[in-house]
Amino acid sequence: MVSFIFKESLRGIRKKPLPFFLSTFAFGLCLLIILIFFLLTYNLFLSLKIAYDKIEIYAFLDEKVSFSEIKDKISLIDGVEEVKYISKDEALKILKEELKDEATFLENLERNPLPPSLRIRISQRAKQVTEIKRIEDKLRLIPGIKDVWAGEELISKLVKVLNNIIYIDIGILIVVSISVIFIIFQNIEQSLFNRQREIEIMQLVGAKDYFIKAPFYLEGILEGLLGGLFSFILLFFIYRIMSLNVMALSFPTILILIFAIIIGAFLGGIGSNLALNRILK
Amino acid sequence: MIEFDNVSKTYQNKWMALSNVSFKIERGEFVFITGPTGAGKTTILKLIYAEELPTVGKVIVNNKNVATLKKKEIPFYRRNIGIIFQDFKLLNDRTVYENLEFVLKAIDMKGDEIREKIVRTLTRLGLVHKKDCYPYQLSGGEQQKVAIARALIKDPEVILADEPTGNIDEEASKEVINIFKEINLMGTTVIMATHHSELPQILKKRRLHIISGKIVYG
Repeated sequence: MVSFIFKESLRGIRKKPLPFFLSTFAFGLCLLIILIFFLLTYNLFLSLKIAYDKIEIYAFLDEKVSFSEIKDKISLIDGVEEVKYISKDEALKILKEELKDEATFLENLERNPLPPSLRIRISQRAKQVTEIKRIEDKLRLIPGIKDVWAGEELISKLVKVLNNIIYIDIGILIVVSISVIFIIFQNIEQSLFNRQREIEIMQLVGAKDYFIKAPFYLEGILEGLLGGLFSFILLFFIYRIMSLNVMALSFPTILILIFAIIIGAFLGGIGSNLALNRILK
Repeated sequence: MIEFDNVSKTYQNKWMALSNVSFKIERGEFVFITGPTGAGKTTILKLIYAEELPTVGKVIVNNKNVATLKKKEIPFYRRNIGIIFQDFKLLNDRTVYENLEFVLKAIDMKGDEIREKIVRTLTRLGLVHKKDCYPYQLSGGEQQKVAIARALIKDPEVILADEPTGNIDEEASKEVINIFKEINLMGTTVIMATHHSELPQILKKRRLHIISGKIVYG
């Protein structure tokens, strides 16, 4: 049974190879758009994750307070992982390092204006806007802490950016998916017309419905699969060119290959299904 | 075996192909359906092999109302019917052997049995030496014999032939008619639609004559 379905499917492709390969080519190009966005989103996620991992809370201290007096109180706050004290001198040194050549104006200062501070590392679980706000509020209640900077606005912006990117990706996925389904649909529809006599004979001799339809499903899935593979190869070349000339991107080879093949085969199957349901009612 | 009970068939374009048609065909009979082009002969055959359903009335085959068959039952129902057309409906990109193999594989028959059945059927019809020929390499009569082989290969209870001699010369027609007689002698019911109204008389077989969708004789 399986060999019959495979043979009939391949016979259909061999009968009219050009339309099959042209639509596979067009399918691959459309799928490439999805893959490019997939790759860019993946890299953006990686960058944002790195930024997310670096989220820390800064607490600025009164100069009269010693670190040992408040260290325990801070460590007891749920979500706090590590507290690091940065003295006035260290803060100045860090600032100079960050400003590099532009740090000359700091040499003329009569006194160090920077307060001592604490760099508080929080747990992964606590890296949420509401949790950070809670820790920030508790820190403000500790005597000796003058100000707290937690950057929850930045985090909230990051989350918004991520959400928007996901919405854009979904939108592109839907639009491109409709286009590629249409490509497969047209090809299978043509294939069904080309093989009308085979279908008619199968129906008249008493072939089961799935026996008649399966070769066309397979053709659509195969086209999607090859289109997916083709789009992956194209994406790989684009990635190589970009890596050498524009920017270094992370390229999860296996993940993208599996994604391309699965989404290709899936959309191919849907396209075939629509054509079969329209023509072979 | 086959019974039409007050069957009328109206197509979507409101054309009434059959009007109050009733008849019975017993198992093992050889019946001609005669009449001019457009009289409704093909519609009768289509109603038997469930390609069409009656608008009014019942078509009963082997005590079962064809209209009550579920969609998934139709393939199995058709396996008992061999259908032959005027235009042969052979696959031109496949050899004679492959045309028959296609049918058997489509009904999920397995390897050894397929080869044996094809060789046996082609031998019976005197076509075994042409098994590797493509349809376009055969004469019209030979092509029709391949189409008969394709219908016979499933060992059907009924053979429906729609103008089987319409596209072949007189000599080949005689040969084809003789094959149908032989098939009938082996016990298979044969129903042949033809516009050659003299054929039933020559063969001394029953005839249903139909004009404008009504049986006028039979």
